[in-house]
Amino acid sequence: MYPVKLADFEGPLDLLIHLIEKDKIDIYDIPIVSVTEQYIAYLDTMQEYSLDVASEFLLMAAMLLQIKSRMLLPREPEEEGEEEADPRQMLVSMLVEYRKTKKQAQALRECLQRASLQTARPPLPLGKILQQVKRYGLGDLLRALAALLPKPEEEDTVIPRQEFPVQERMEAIRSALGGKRKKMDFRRLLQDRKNHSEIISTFLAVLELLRLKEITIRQTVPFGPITLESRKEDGHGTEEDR
Amino acid sequence: MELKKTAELEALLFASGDPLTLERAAGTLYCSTGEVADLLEELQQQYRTAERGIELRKAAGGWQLVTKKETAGLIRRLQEKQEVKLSNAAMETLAIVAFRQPVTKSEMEAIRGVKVDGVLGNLVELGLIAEVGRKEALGRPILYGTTDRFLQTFGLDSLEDLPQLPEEILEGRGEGPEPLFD
Repeated sequence: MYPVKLADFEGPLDLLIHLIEKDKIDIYDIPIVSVTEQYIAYLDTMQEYSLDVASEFLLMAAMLLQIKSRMLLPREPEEEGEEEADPRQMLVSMLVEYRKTKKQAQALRECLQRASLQTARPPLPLGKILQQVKRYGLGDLLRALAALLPKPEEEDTVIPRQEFPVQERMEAIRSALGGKRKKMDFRRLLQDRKNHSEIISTFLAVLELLRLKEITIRQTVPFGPITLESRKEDGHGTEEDR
Repeated sequence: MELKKTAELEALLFASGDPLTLERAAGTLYCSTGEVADLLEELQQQYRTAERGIELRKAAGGWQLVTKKETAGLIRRLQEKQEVKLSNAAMETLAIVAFRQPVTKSEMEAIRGVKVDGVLGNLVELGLIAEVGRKEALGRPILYGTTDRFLQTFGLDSLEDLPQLPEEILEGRGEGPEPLFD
């Protein structure tokens, strides 16, 4: 058994590089028998610790055994005199490439370590926020809000009955002016009115009576009291006077 | 208060965070790239004193403000989160992409001798590598390359700044035969 530490290897190539470097073996002249033995011993150790041996490791074991068997076979002399390809050729080039990558990774890590001594800050988010505020207006905001609010139930619009018809008010004024007093203070007319619609309809009634020339309105001084006067009665009066 | 041009450039660099190119800075400051280069030199000079904790760094084709190396320990104390540490598997895969880009997933797997799906996904997620196209080969596999973020993270100005290792280190002993293929 070869003492192989159960280190973390990144893959079968990593393990092979470890075995080669450990014994300071020339990568271009790998003693395939001993390396294969060590490699398989390592896999056995992994299994002893009941670690799952990844399929890549098994594939490499098969490749090593195949190379080993080809190395053991006597070489047939080539008639053409061409060099017979070394069975290790493929493995060697894989190892060389992988070792290259490992060294480059190490160099990169050094770059990273150097660079991470310095900290840069992320870009200010300010620009993006302003841009968004500009692009969306109040209308968009309201629309978004409206979409969130529950929709009002569709209801028929009800126009409330007119409680104080202008006609009625006109009648009331007529009768008020028809009595003894032919004059009437405008303010008194509005005094007892209960709500806005009554006041409004009274006011409209006054205006309507004025239009019909049934009354006249007097105000002797600015902001003074406004007096309503019946013209009809006046008329009657004149007739009576006559 | 009328600010000096160096102060304006400093503000731009602060706001940018990411490396700012000479062209971009010149376009913003309404001056020539030559002037920006002079201003950068002036600013760098000002940062060189022991009174300043930041300095300019050239990265990914532009300039950015970074904290000085001497403050590394201090900054680490400030940061609560540990930075993502790249595993050896990730570094090896990244090295393949960086030095041989553009490269496909199966090419990475051939070199490393293992599957790379997991680390590849991580590297893409970290924004260090990205898809750069498709290889005109069977199945049109995705080609990967490094990003600007990679350059910035590794403090490199361009891919030409990648650490070049001497051939004898990369290939092994000098006495050995030539590599059988590249």
